[in-house]
Amino acid sequence: MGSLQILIQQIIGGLAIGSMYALVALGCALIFSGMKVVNWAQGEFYMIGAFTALTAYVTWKWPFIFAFLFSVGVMFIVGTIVEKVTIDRVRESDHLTLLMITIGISIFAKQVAILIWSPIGAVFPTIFGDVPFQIWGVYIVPQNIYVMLIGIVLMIILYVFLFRTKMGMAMRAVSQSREIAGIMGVNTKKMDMLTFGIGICLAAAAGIIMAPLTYIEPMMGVTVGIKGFVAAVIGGFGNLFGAVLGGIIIGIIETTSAFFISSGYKDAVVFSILIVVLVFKPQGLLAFSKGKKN
Amino acid sequence: MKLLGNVTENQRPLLWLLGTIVVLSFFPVFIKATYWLHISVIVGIYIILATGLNMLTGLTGLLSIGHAAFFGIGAYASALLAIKLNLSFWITLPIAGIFTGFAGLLLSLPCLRLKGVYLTITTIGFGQIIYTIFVEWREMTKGPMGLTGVPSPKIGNFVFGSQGVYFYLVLVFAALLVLIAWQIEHSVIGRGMKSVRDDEIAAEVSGVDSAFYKKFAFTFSAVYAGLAGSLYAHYFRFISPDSFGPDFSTMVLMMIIIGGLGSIPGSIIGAVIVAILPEALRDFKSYQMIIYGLMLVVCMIFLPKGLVSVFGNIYEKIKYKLNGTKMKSESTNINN
Repeated sequence: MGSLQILIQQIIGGLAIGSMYALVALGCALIFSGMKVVNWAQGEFYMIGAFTALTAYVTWKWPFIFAFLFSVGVMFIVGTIVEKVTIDRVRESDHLTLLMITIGISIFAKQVAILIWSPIGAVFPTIFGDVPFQIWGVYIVPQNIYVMLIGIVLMIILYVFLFRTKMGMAMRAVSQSREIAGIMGVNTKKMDMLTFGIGICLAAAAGIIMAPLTYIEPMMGVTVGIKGFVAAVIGGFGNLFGAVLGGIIIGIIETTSAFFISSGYKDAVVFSILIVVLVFKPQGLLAFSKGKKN
Repeated sequence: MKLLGNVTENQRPLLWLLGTIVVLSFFPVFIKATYWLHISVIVGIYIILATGLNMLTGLTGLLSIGHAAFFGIGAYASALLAIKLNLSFWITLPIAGIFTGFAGLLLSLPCLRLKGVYLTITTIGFGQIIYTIFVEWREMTKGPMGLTGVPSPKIGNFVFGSQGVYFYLVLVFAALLVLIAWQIEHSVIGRGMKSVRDDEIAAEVSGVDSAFYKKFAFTFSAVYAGLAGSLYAHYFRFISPDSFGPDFSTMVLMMIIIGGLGSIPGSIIGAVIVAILPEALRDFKSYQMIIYGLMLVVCMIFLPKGLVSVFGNIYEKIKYKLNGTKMKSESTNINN
């Protein structure tokens, strides 16, 4: 097997992981652009989403698609409630207070998960098959393809919602200017709840589709949350297309560096590249398309 | 404040500090339980860390969520020097501080170009890189197994081994470093840092070299974290990468925000709360950390300016009640 084939394999793996990061990052970027909140708990909702689906799929023996929808739905409701009882009360505070609240939520969520699902974690059974098939000398794991496809489908749904429906337009209006959107009759409080709920749904969905590829345990959200946040930032924070691009870039760097350099140092490589990128493009990768500097 | 009537404004913190040291130094005499002495050693180390981060995030306004990296660099530098080169604590501590200071200076260079979340993300990335190195550079750090056998500090034949004795060591260092931070906060440098935080462009226009203050803030807080790390390593005598991961970075940030951002008393209060609260909640067993997270959220919702704002308000009220009329006369004097 030539090195080109290996590279292609790594890139396909990277695209799968990247679309997962992209979903987490999309949630982060959505919440940031809509509410100006850096959501540190994103990774924890990713983890709880995976565990909820695991309970529905394995313990209650539901079909996967129902388990998926159930978990995403539950996370949406949880997200809106969390927003209502915490962030909504301190809307006027500075971003550090809000960040601290989400850090508190992440500690809380981790411990609740440990209490409910035990700290040991579990294996999510394969759903899409993990026996690789071969095309032109390249081995492809079906799971990776499915993860990518589901990721793309979810992104398209989000796109249609944001850019083709009235509610999505209201959400974008709030993210542009809260005051003017309010004057124009948009219920900004309701939109905040919706934004937070959807942002968390995306993280949960990423957790569920990724769960069969990884071992799931209550601490797994920490690095994913950080990388999702990083992906959202390098794309240009608040820019949804940038978040997707950032997620995919991080996924590909991660798998290729794991293969060509060292799997242990892959995080160091990812973050070194990130810092170098930021030094040369301090406003994120897609900053030029935004037109104004923040 | 008749008691301190003859003391100038600059000497007042020194007196406060001496008073605190004297009061606290009786602590081990009354409290024999090693458990609480152990907690107070940790509180001391956290105070150093929080004070350092406060200079960076609170005073200069550069939000860092990678501070555990500096703490870890200090701890590993100190431990490795002590184990591999058999150096004494009194040499490893300053070297760890200087080394970490250089790491801070290095991180400040890319950060000069960055603002807001982009800067934060760089500090997070730095934290992750350093954490990965701790885990993966097995020849040096022994990876996840951690380093054992870090010697306790000693002077001659006297060993700072037990919690009670180490408490004094940490107390002296914490008091000294807090005093230095206090003096810097109230000096030209402190005002420069605050001006960079409040309005960087206006500061630049007024001739404040913002790049210098940013570099200084990073280096300074890194040195503090390095010294705290060194004290940590020689106290626990065992270090592993787990203590220096992203969770710890958020914890240090938590200290300064719970206490009150940009205030040294706030950092101290925050460090005490973050260290003691989990211990106080130990009775709740497995619900311990859940309640901890909840309390954090509730605290931020009701006291977004930190706990120091509560104490500050009470202090102002008492002061006003005691010498409300006097204050009025003083102010007219100034106006005339």
